[in-house]
Amino acid sequence: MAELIGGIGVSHIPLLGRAIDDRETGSDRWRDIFQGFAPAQAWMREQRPDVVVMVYNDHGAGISLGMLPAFALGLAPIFPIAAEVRGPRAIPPVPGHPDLAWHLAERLTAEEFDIALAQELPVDHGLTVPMSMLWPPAPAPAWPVPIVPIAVNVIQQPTPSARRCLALGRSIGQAVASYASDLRVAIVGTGGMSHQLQGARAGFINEVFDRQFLDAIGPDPERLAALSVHDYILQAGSEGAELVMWLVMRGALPKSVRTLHRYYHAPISSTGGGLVILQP
Amino acid sequence: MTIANDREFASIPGTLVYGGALARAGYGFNKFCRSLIDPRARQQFAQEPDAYMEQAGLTAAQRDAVTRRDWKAMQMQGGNVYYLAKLAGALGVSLQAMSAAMADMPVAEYEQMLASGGRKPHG
Repeated sequence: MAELIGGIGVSHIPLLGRAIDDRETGSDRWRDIFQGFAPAQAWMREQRPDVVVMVYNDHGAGISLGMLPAFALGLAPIFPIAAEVRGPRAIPPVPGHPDLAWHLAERLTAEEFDIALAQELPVDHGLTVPMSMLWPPAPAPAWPVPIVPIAVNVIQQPTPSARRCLALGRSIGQAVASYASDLRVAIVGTGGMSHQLQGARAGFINEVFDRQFLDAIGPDPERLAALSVHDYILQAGSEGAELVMWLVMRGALPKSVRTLHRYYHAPISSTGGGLVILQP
Repeated sequence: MTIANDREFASIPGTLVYGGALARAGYGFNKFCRSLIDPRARQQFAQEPDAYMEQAGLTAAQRDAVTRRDWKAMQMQGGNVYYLAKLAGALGVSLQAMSAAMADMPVAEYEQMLASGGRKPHG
């Protein structure tokens, strides 16, 4: 049976993607920050997952308001890079894992998560920036590992609650465990941390909340799941509410996990940036 | 007319939460913002902004807000921040400048605030 070997929570800050694309990660501005995220790269190199489930949010690039699922699962063998303000990032398309993805579709729906099924899903910086941070660019024409993307709506209310996200994670964990193959599977939840780009409170960053979130996600996810969407927007900012996606990652892992690594830096452009690595 | 926050989120200071009322008012506007990802659409919009916005079905208030580059008004007319970011890109306005305008702050002051750790909770 497949094994869930660990989970990573990480920010998907566009400026970090640009620093990677422009090969500026060693510059004075970025060196320390990228060193802070480096343990996630080391973990991926050491653990060598065969496939990674990546829980992210689209920003109106690959998915439109015309049809906006609460949760959507990418089933395709390949996911093109979505065009954004600056055009599509110049990176290879993202390989999928249709076999595991279809297994998840069947198991999640049987477990009463009626997830939307996507055969066409262009992926934006919400997915590709963490990929670049986990697998820094190489001259190779392709990414080293296939991805099963799961998109969560966090851009238009009503959005799924933190508790629902944790429950989705649990169902993903059970589904992976029932997959008849010896695949090693990792799961990544990406978004946030605290920031707000809009309204009179634009520029809001809540370092205290972010650090509490990083401390709690391993040992006490129930406490984070008990917070309402209102609480997340109030405490992490309207865009920082993206943090609920980390709870999908956490829910997929067993009740007891080890927190191997935590990193936090604020500000990174407009936001608090963070990383956590969890292992059963 | 401006559109208010959903009741559920009304107590969160300085924050327009996109949903319900804003989403109903803003659907066409946000679709217009998203269309500008396409470089050809962006060029058409740059050449004949009024015609482009008219064709996209924007309301008079939305067109006026875009023409005046009034980001606060655009948000109150239903602009979703992730979509307004696409319009800002098409207009050559930085994300920081857009957010600063919404916060009623000069861009330099807003950037300074971010650099020193952002706007603090309860402050």
